[in-house]
Amino acid sequence: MKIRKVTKDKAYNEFLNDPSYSLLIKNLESYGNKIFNLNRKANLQAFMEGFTFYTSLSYRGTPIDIIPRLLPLHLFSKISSYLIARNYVLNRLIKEVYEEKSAPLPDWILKTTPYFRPEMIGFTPPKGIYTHVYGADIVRVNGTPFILEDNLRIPSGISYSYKAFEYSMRFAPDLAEGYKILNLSGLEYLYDILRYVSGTKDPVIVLLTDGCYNSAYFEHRFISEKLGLILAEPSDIIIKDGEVVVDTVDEGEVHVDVIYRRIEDLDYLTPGLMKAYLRGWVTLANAPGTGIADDKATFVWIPYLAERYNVKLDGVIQPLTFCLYEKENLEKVLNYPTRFVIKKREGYGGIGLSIIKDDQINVLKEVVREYENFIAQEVLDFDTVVSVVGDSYYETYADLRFFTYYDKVATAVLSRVGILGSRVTNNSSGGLVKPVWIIE
Amino acid sequence: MDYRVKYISIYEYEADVILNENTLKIVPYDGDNQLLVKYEVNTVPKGYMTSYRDIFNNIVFKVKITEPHRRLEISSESVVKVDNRVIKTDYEFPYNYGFNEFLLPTKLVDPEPFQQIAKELVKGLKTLGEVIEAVVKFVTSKISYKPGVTNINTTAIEAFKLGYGVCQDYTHVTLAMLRALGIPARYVMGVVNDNPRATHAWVEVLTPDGTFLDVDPTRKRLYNLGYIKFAIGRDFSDTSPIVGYFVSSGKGGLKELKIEVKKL
Repeated sequence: MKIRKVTKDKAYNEFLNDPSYSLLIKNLESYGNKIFNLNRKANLQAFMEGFTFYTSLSYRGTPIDIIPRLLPLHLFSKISSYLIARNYVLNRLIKEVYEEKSAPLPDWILKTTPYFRPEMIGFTPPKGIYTHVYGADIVRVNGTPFILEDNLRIPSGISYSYKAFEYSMRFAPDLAEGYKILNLSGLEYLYDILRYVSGTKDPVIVLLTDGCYNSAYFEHRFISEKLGLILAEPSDIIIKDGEVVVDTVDEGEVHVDVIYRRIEDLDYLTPGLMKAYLRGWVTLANAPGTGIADDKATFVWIPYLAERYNVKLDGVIQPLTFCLYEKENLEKVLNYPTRFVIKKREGYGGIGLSIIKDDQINVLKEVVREYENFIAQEVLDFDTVVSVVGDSYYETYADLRFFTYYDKVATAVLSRVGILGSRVTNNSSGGLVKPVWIIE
Repeated sequence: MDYRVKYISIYEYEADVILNENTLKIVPYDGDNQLLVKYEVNTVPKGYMTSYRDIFNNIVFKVKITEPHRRLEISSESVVKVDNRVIKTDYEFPYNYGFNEFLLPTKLVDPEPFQQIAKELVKGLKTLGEVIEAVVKFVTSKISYKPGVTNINTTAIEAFKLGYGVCQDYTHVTLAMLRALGIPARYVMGVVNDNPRATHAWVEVLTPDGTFLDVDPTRKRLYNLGYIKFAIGRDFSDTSPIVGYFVSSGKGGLKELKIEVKKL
């Protein structure tokens, strides 16, 4: 097997060095060169079936790399306990800020994020839950998991993990030979938590999308179909006196219990919905205002907050991350820029992220001008994997995205592969999606 | 000296505004030579309001109004004690302040293009006081006061090249010159104590002792100006008294601004 390297970094290659992969390598070798063609077919099929994402110009197929990434069950369990504890901390923080009106970290950080919602102050969401859905980005460094980011506004990607898994199994089923792979779960947890907060046994749940131009529209459709949710756009939502209804084609206006929102801007797209929510006419998931815990400056404070709330965060490491509004930190970064990854506080999807070491991008100019809006994180030489691209195997960087539904972690995990040679693995930056097998 | 300060701004719109979100820095700064005795911020109609202190310790209010309206009134009323500072200007120049955030280039003030001119100007000067006086004299000789030529996005170098501007531009150019010389200086937004009609801008220069000297290049006044500062920052963008956005099918904007400063 010939594997092309595109970086000079001597990273630990999980695929080549982790013994659990030896069987997979054998299985791949028995496919020989056919695997490249199968990968191409899987991608074509995926595109034909509408597994796409929308960019500013057109729908593009979500590129799949059918070689799975393996995650031993014991490691999954460890990460999963960690994420449940971490989500508790995040939820607790949001509760403290809005419900208890106290600021356990600098007030200005919380209140200058564009996702701070003053309306939420003094409000208690149903069951005290703000963060129904939580997406965490994790990488491995010599096998050890490190957390890079918390996504709490409208985390996306679970459909990708289902689809990547499915296409890999469909087109290269023999890769699984000899492995005991955990079934995918996740969407049922989403349903459970939405039902739980609805307070009724059989709630009407709407998935609110801003429409087919949303880059994750495929996912909105996928989730609503799988869970039997009503897929609605803002114009379908009607605020009545005392209730919220959705205008459906088949049944006319239907009372809504819960809105699983996949849009951020409620004020502009659905005026009146926020008021209806605050009056208790409908439940929103995630709760508005969770973005304060999504801010990268807040990430810096999580270990401190865990201590404050008496929660032990074990099993995953949070890399050294700091805010640049503190003079000593800013000075350090300006003097040694290549040692850090610079992230813009409210950036998402790889936007506003610069690894000076890799890209030589001069973001420092921007950092200097508004340092309070940036954080720095130590550069991690995270583990590489192997991907099929065209007719070759390449060594690539990949992360792991886990989906937590309040207190359950999906076994549908996504691995996002950076474009060749890049460590930026977010989907909006291009790159591939890779199935993840949790193996016993 | 104690002052009662009132700030009222009135906005009018052609059509209903369904969302109006604003960030306000309209109460006096609490710290340095000022002590904020009491303060209150209001809007009509009312909105969801919250406040915090920013990285410069400015008191910031955020208000989000979701009740439909065609007129918005934002007001504050405060009582503030302004103390005179002990003025000492004979610090040795040049002086190495080390790493300082008020030396860095900002959105509107880049000291780089002023390096040469600034160095020429201060040749032979020995104290911080001499440098400040020379810079203020230079800036006022290069810029003529003329409203309407520049706007809130005009940079220091743009205003300098135009040769026209308002208090914001005088302040930016002065900051650029001082920072080019390695002297940390900050932007101040506030109100003057003699019949203010609008907010004003001036400069505070850091001394090697860690104190600040207030300087008003627009009115060519130095030290213990007696003005009331609202906010400090790197440049205008950190101190803007009211900044926000609204959602409406019609146009609209500031109709009236009233500021009252009364000695108590």
